[in-house]
Amino acid sequence: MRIIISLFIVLLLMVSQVSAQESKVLIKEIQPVAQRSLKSFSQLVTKENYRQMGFESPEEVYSATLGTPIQDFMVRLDRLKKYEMGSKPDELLTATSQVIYPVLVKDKVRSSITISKTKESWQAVSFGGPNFVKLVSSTLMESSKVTGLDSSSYFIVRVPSLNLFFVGFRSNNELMLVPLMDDTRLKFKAGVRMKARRVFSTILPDAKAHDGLPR
Amino acid sequence: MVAKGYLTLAGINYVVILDPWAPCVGDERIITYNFYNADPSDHTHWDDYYDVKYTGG
Repeated sequence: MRIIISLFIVLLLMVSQVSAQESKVLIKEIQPVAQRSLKSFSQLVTKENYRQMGFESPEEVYSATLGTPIQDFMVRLDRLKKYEMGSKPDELLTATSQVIYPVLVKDKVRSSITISKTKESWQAVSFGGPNFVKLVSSTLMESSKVTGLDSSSYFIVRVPSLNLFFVGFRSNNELMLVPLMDDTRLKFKAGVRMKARRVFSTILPDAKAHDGLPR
Repeated sequence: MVAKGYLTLAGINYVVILDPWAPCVGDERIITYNFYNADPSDHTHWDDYYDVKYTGG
């Protein structure tokens, strides 16, 4: 029995290491695209829109640098509806082929660039969104202080059908989620980590009752 | 999502959008038209309304 448990733990460790390795390869592949997109961003920022894009002056974008990329995952409604308590929560995560780069000025998060795989190539598809990336980054950094994990260990988990957003990480092979916002009804507290299996069990009734229409 | 403008830069078409999330805050983003048009992992289009004008009252 001990041998079986040991083999299972080794298998889990191997799977998580492969996943981390895949993530590193992905980031290496898209980093040059992200660097080039910074130049595009500087051309998109104007005197009229620099505040909405998150900058304190129109010139700031010229000194902007890229932060640690954050991979994006979503939880599909159809899969969530079929979730059974006790099953592995990781299986609900679907990689979206989107990676968000925080855009920094003097190490402060100002804005973001999203890189996405379109057809066969990676391209910058979204610029701006300062409030979302600031919320993600501050949640991630606060969590990182507690867990001691590097920021590259974190990722975004969205449940679009229920308008729920989290940063995620793995701890002792357990998927953990940190809500970005308070939700008094669901008893989610912003910044307080929870086991993903608990989160999914909590939102399961809402998912099952969802009619599939936009909210 | 509300589209509030558009532009073309280096041959790429962009749409300027207002994203209502996060609640009471929202965000503005400039996204490529291709991404706006179709990326089911991010959004889908339902009924799109356009040319909506405030007529006073």
